[in-house]
Amino acid sequence: MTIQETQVQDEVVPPAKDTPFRRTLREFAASRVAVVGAVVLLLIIFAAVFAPWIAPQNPYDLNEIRVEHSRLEPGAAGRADPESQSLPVPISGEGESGRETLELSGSVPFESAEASWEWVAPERVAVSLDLQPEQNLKTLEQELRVEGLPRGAELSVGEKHDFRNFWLVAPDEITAFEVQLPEGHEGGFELEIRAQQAEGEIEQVYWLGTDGQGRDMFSAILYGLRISISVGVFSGALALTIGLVVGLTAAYAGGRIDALIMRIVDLQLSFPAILVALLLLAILGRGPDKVILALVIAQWAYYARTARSAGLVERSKEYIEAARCLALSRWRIVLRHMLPNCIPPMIVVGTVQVANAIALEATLSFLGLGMPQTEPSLGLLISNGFDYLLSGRYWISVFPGIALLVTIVAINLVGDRLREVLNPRMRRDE
Amino acid sequence: MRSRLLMASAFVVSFAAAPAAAEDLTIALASEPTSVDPHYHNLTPNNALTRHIFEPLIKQDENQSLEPGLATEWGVTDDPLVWEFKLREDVTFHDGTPFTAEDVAFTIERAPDVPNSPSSFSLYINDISEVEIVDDHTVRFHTEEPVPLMANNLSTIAIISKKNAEGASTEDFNSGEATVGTGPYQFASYTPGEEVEMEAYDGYWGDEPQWDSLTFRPITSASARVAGLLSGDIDVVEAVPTNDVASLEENEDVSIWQGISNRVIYIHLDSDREVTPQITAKDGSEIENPLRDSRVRKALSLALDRESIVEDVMEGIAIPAGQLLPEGFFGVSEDIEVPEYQPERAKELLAEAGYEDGFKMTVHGPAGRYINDEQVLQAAAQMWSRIGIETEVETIPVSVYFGRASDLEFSVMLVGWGAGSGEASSPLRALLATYEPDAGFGATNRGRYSNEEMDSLLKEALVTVDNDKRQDLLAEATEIAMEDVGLIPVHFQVNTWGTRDGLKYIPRTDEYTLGTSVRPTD
Repeated sequence: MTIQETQVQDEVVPPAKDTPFRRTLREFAASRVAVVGAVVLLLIIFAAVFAPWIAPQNPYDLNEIRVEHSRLEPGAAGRADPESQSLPVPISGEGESGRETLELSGSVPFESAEASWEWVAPERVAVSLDLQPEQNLKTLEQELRVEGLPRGAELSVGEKHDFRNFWLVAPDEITAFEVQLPEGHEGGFELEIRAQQAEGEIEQVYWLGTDGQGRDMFSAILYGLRISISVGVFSGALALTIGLVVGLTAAYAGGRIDALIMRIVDLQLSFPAILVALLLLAILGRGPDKVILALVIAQWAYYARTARSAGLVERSKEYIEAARCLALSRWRIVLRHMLPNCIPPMIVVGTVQVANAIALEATLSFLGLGMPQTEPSLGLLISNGFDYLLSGRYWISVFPGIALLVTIVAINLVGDRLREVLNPRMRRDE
Repeated sequence: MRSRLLMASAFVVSFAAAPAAAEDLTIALASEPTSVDPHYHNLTPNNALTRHIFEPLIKQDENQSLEPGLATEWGVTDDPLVWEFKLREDVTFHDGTPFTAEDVAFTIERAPDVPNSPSSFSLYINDISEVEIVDDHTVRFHTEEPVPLMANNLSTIAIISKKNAEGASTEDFNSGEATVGTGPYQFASYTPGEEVEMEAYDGYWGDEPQWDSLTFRPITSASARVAGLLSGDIDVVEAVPTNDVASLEENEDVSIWQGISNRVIYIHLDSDREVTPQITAKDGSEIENPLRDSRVRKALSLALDRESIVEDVMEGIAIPAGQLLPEGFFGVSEDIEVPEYQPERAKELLAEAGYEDGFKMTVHGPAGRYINDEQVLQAAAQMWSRIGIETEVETIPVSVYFGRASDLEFSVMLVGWGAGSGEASSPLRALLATYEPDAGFGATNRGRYSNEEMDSLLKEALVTVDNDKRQDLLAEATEIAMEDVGLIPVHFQVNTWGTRDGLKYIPRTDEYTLGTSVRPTD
């Protein structure tokens, strides 16, 4: 690349201090969109790197997430379990009436309770409750659950649960009711009444809501970005290294070796990357290391092809010929002379491929092959939320989707601009 | 195909306006039957599908209680080793040939060994040593030992026609050639992966079939099934996802029907091997299998907040379980309560057993076999983490999960069991009895739990003809196994069907989706 020859305009920095890097940076900055992309990308990388300090919760630690807080809306508060109390009412055998002070399991909502019952008919018993303090009945917003009824028994108040054997009774009806027992029932039974205060204390507010396991979506997205970016960058770096070595070897060696290597590359490229990665993960199993391995195997060929074509261009140049005349070793020529000049196109391919790798990882996770269930990446979060879309719980899928979209767009904006800046043929006159 | 679809929806529209006696019904199935051969594969979708075309001697109603089918009367003769069945007289097969005892004898001969059967019906028939044809409408079954469950067992066997099915292979059934039964609907077409069509049989002995034709379509994606119902392409869907139930209940164009299932979702524990594959100390070093200690198993059970799993994971559409079948089924113990959530007590038990620092384990489950199975397992993992057991979750595609589980590759696994016979001996025998597959005990005992006391009670129950006594024996066997935590029951599934407005579905505990259970609302 002959960057030195390009014309320079609107000097902001004094020409004396101008270096190729600064010039590249300045040219990059000439596009507003690209700058926005770069800033967003930097923010995302910052958030991903420092996720453990920013996120309110470690979404991968099963001790921190609470299934009790599952599927909360964005901005909703996760609350502690409400205080609950169970009142056992031991109703003695038929024909008798009785009165008993109940043993309460906690101090809230009632401090003391007394129950009395009377058999009003052979299979019918009237129960009345005296609960103190009585005004606490009004603070119960939820219905009380009456359990322990013999099978087939009916209450005169409230409603039976659709398929479970308990009745739900409104607080103002619980103080006096009758139980109709099934025909032929004999002897006593023990009712259990559960009173639950409406809401527990706020433990945590979930600004982006929670998923089906009670994971804070904001934390999960930050950690998901962390996985996506590290998988993208690591697999990109590895594939780039392999691709460079293979591509330059082919370019420099030429002839049969070149033909052989490039046919292997062609063969690899004839399979869609997603297919290769799917097959590999189906064999390897789940986990970030395996995803990286699969992505490297799926993507190295793209880098190899670019490296070879860049290498071919450079090889025919005079400085290489000069180096050869100096009888420098092959490796020295390849590594010290050809390689640095092949880097710019590789950077361009690299950024695009990192974005592809992130998308590919998300796809694999979406299909259930990438990350384990308890360590969801963005793709797995989207996939989990997919099942909830029809029921209107959009946030489980949509927010990670937006995060993924923004990340990939930002990388592509930066990559596109880099291509324009680093490739003189693409440059438009500004 | 396209035009038929259009016609079907046109039908729906016109009949929504003016309900009439006869119409066509399209039903979406969550999983595809593997054949229309009624004896090929003992699998819920197959059994449900073939129930339309074929009938057993004794039927199970929606609560799995027995009622007369092709037999009108049955019972043990004076000899406890001989059962006698009186057959219905006015029954004809779809091709017009009358149904006789010959067909019954032929069925009992064919059903247990269909070539290449992935899961055969032999367990229900093996007890029969000889079929004796007394006259055209009386058969006797001879056995080596008393078999009190004979009627339950035979209620799973579809009677086929000797004339049409003699020498027939599964392919002959799939093509329709041998698919000739006595049921209310007759075979019309079967395209694997696409649909199965049936037409009403005019000569049916029972109530006239409600529908002119039935079309079953396998649609494995839950959201596609629901979308099909909402768009009007489908009249009835099974396995509506719990996520969607609330919003569908508010939709006036569809109705939701729910019913308890006989399927318990449970956690099986390796309580046998000295070292189990996925349990280690927290530093990763090998330890003796802690699950052999019943205190550890009990701790795992008490650490589960079943109420929370039902409310928060299943959205209220399940029933917390403390034993193997929901109340109301035969052999259920009334004295077993659902274990209360007691994390502190669980920690104490772990400490008593010498694991105050906990241990590390990986738990396994299928991805998508049961309702919300992956979510349930993750929630359980959360709850176990809270008592100090470092838990990891691995979910595995259904196609390989059960094979690996049966090869004892797992230490802790989530599985479900539906009691096909509708009573408690089925899960006790399959899941908890000491592993003795040749005798039909512990065939699915993937934890290799073994308890002699329970075994002997169960074996006694299996040869006890007196119902009350058998009920007590089964209940007692269940109590012993549950007290010892041979496995950890989590919840009973509740199944949900969706129909378009104007139809109603009568939920079945065996999870079958039947066209005969769909009625118009009036």
